[in-house]
Parts: sequence; structure tokens; C-alpha cells
Amino acid sequence: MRKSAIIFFALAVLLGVSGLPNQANAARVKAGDCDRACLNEMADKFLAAVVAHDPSKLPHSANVKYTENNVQLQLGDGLWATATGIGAYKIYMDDPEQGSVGYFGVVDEDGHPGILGMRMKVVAQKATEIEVLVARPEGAGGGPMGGAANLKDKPIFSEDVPETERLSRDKLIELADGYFSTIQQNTGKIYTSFADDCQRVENGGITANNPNGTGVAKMGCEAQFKTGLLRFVTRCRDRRFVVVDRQKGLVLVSTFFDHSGSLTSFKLVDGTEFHVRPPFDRPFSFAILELFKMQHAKIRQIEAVIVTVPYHMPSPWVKSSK
Amino acid sequence: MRINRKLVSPALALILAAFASSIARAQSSAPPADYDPNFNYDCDRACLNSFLDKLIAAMVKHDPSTLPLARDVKYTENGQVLKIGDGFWGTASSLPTYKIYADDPQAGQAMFMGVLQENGAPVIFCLRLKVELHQITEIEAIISRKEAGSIARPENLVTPNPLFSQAVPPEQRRSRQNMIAIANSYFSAIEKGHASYVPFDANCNRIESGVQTTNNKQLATSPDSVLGLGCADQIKTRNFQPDTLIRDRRFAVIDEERGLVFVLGFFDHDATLRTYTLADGRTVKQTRTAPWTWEIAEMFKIQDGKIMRVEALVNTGIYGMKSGW
Repeated sequence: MRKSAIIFFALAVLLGVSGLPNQANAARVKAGDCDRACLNEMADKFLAAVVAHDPSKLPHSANVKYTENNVQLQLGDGLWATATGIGAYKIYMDDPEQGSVGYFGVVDEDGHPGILGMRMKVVAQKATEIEVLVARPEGAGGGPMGGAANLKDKPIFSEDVPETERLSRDKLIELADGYFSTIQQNTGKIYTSFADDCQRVENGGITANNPNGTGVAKMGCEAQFKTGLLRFVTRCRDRRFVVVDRQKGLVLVSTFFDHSGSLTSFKLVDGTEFHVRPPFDRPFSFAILELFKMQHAKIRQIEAVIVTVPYHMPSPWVKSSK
Repeated sequence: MRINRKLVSPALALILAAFASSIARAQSSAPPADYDPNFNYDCDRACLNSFLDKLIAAMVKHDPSTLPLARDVKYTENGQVLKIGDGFWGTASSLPTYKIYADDPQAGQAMFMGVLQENGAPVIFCLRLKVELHQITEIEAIISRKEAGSIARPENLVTPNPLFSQAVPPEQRRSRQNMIAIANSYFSAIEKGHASYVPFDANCNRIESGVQTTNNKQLATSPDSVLGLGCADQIKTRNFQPDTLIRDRRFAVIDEERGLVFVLGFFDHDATLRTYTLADGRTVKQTRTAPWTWEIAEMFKIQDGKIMRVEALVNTGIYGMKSGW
């Protein structure tokens, strides 16, 4: 994918396309008319601009909206002033229909690597919306944290789904939405479909189907949820399906897990009494960017960037956060 | 209160009558629907404190139903708007031990700082409320928990310094705006060293989330540490340069009688200052590399124009987060 993007733009430069007001360029100026290569280039420009501490290196609209860890900031503030490098680990997801691109990777801040999740909306080849989560080693709160060093390449995220097997946008969204319905006040009922070898990585830690794990982390995705273990997740709130990539079978979701902390013990599906341990016995929320890879109409691979935020912190992207 | 006058001396009767009247004030009842020129609409110190106590008791009982809440009461917890009954209302598990009150009858506002339990774990708890017409219209709670990234040490808070509950002699009091200016000078001196003079008393000390962060030789283990210095000497070192912006300062409660100013706000650190030079020429390397914000509730005891004592709750928040107010 990266190679094809480079070739595409090398060709464009060689042919002098960028300077010509030809039909192709005129058409690409429309909203949502930025193809995969264009979207990936925008993601790369964002990363380069952040490391350069220079918002002018990213084409953006005058009223571009930028949020970092669920707080609206000016371009140039926050990570824009501290990022010193981008790691080799990279996942791109593209939604040319919506003009949206998503990116997961690693960002360095003066020797401290953090896990970066980003989604951007592109209109007329300019960034109009940028939503960033950075899970930092010292800021993870009670969240799971395997660390940036544990992120290994997963070719599955860049593999195309054969055309005949591609799911509709609605079906992709339904599968991802069902994942959160399964977790919210987890009763053991499954509202989505999991592949047997479904695996989940959260902030660099393998938290389902971990071959080297023990206990819950060794269990598969579906088996975990069938236990009813996550009943203390009060709400999976404000689910937004920000990138739907039919070609690769990917869905990127922005959401929150609210934990009210008021449920201190409950019975698992098998009748075992479960005592909720810290930090889940106090009110707090996770802000999450969660990526799903679907294969054969099932969830096959999950990867999430998770940041601990104050309980029930509303999203700056949702008008009436529930 | 019914008193059998045959059984008590006239002096004792007077004391009991005074006590009964103070109880009546503290209990406070809702005003009548129609304006009544004879109704006492004011809410004095005892009245405000009774509201604080009732509110905390209701949180611990997980039951707001008996509280005199205004129809459009607003509640925030750690900067987020929540429904009454959510969040800490479902997890508070004991009445407070360590307790500091500050009251501002003129503004109808009061604040509380203390330690109580949340599902059995001690937390530092700060509460602001606003009372209008004997109803609670605003509630703002900040809870500092012992968790990853937190500096909270609630176990250290056992007995509040008596200064916080002592009245300042009338001749040593300052006007409301003068008190705000004194508290504000502290933040201005810290924020990028915008100001240099803060009127500290020579014996001033500061406690932050249960940790004494002035004159604490035990904690001053590294050569760069300023924790062993007093309030004024710390400012003079120019050690606070990484504090980029102290924003959204709200001087929420001005307790003129006790000389207390209770301030809410945020310390933003953009983490761009990688090294900085102290007043004595030494260069210090900033260890934190990512932007962060401290959400603070800070109380100042001011007597005769001097800051005698500072006590604060400090929470690590999200960089740039807002207060909900």
C-alpha cells in the first residue's frame, strides 16, 4: 500500500499532473473525493507536520477541528509541540466514500514512545477534522498497557478482502456495533460474530487469544464475553463508526467505556461470584479508538488505543453526549 | 426545642435557647412560595455547613432524594457534568474524617475539603456548592484517588491545621478583592514567573494532596529538589517554569471571617521546555515529555495580608481539559 502510494505520487509529479487544472484534479477537489492513496498521503502529511511542529505542512481548512485525548486544542498545541518521531509500526485504514482515513502507530516524545490512534476527515484535499488519542506510558491510568515496543506488524490489517467476499458498510458497522453491545453490561449474550481465532490487542497488550497469556487473556474473544466478565462496563457510549474500509474489511470506531464503579460484585454466567477489583470499582471512563478486521462476516482481529479519562467525559465530536 | 424552665437555671436556659436558635438556622427550611418579608432568606456559615454535611451524607447513602435540590441543579465530578446520583454518589462509602470548611455567605457558596472512603479506599474529596433561596443550585466535586499517575496520599491527612477553622481578628482581615489579589499573586508567580512577589508569612507551609511540599527535608532527596525550601524561597528558585499556563482560575469561596480563599483552576504544562535555568544558574532537565494538566482545588489561609498556609487537591487531568463551569 505504501509503495503504491509512493508510485502514484511519483507518477503524478513526473507527468506534471499536480500543476495542471485537468479533469481528474477538478473532480478530486470535491468533498469525499480523495482516494486511498490521497487519504494515506494526508495521514503521512499529518505525521510529518506533527513531528516538524508545523501545522502549515498539513493542508487543512481554516476551521479545522483538532482534538487530542478528547480535548479540543489548537493545531500546534499538545502533541504538535512534543512529538519527536514516528515509529515503524503503521496501520492505515481508508474510507474514500466518507473522505476519512484512520491511522494507528507509535509516536515518540523525546525518547518516550506512545501509542497513537488518529482519524482524519478530508474535504477538498484538506483536513477538516482530526481526532487523536495518544496512550502514553505515564498516562494510562488503570488501562491495559502492553507498551509501544510490543506492537508487531500485523499484515492482516493491510490485506484486501476478495471482491466477492466484501461486506456492505451496514454489515461491517453492525458487526462492530454488536461487539460493543456484547460488552456493555456484559451478560454473556453475544451480539456479533467472532472468528474462532479472533485476537485483540489493547495498547500493545494481547488481551484475547494470547498464546503466551494466562487466564482470561488466553481465552478467545467470544469465550471471554460468554463468561459475563465485563458486566462492570456500564456503557459503551457515543459509538461513532468513523472509518469503514470495505476493501480491507476494516471498521474504526471511536467510543467510550463508562465504568460507574458502583457494581462491586456480581455473578458470572457460570454462577461464580466475581469481586470487581480496582480501578473498576470507581467511576472513570476509557476514550477508545478501536479497529476491527472482518473476515467471512466475523470479527477476526481487534486493535485498540485506549486512554483513561474522567468518568463520563463527553466527546467534543458529539453534540449531546449520552 | 422544648425546655422545662423549672428544671434549669436562667443562665442554662439562655445557652439552650441560643443553641436551639443556631440549630434552627442550620437546618434552614425552604422559603414560602410567596415572598415573605419576615422570612430569613440568608444562609449563614452554620446554614452553609449544614448543606455541605447533608450533601456528603446523601452521597454516602447513595440517596439524593431528601436533599433540597433546585430543579435545574448542576453537578460536575472531576470536570464532567453528571446526573445527580451517578459517579461518586454510587461509590462513596464513609463519612469524612479529615474536614475543612470554608464559607462565603455573601456569595451563597461553600467549600469542603476532606478525606472519605470510596468502596473502602480513602480518597481526597473537594466539594463546592452554591445555595440560593435555601436550595442547592450548583455542586462541584473533585475526587483525588490513589491510582496510577496520582500523587494523592489521603492517609497522610489526619488532623487539619487549626488555622483553617480559626477566625482572623477583625483588624487583620482584608477586603474580598484584596484576598483574591493575594491568592492570585501565588499563581502569577508560578506561571512562567510572571510575577515575583507573593506575600507569604515566614512560617508558610503547603500541603498538596496529602503531601507537605514545602520545608520537607525528608522528600528533598535530589540536589534539584525544592521540597526542602519554604513557600517564598521555592518561588525565588524559578523552579516552576514548566508550568505553562494557570488558567480558568475561579476564586469560588471568599471566607472573610476565617481569611480563606478557595480557588479552582488548571495548571497546563505543554512539556516543550526541555531544560531550564534556575535563579542560581543551575540547569534542570524536564523529565516529563508529554503535555499534561493538573486539575486543582487550592485553599489559602490569609491573615494580616500574608499567606499563612496553602492546602491543595491536585489531580492529573487531560491536557487542556475544561472545568464544566
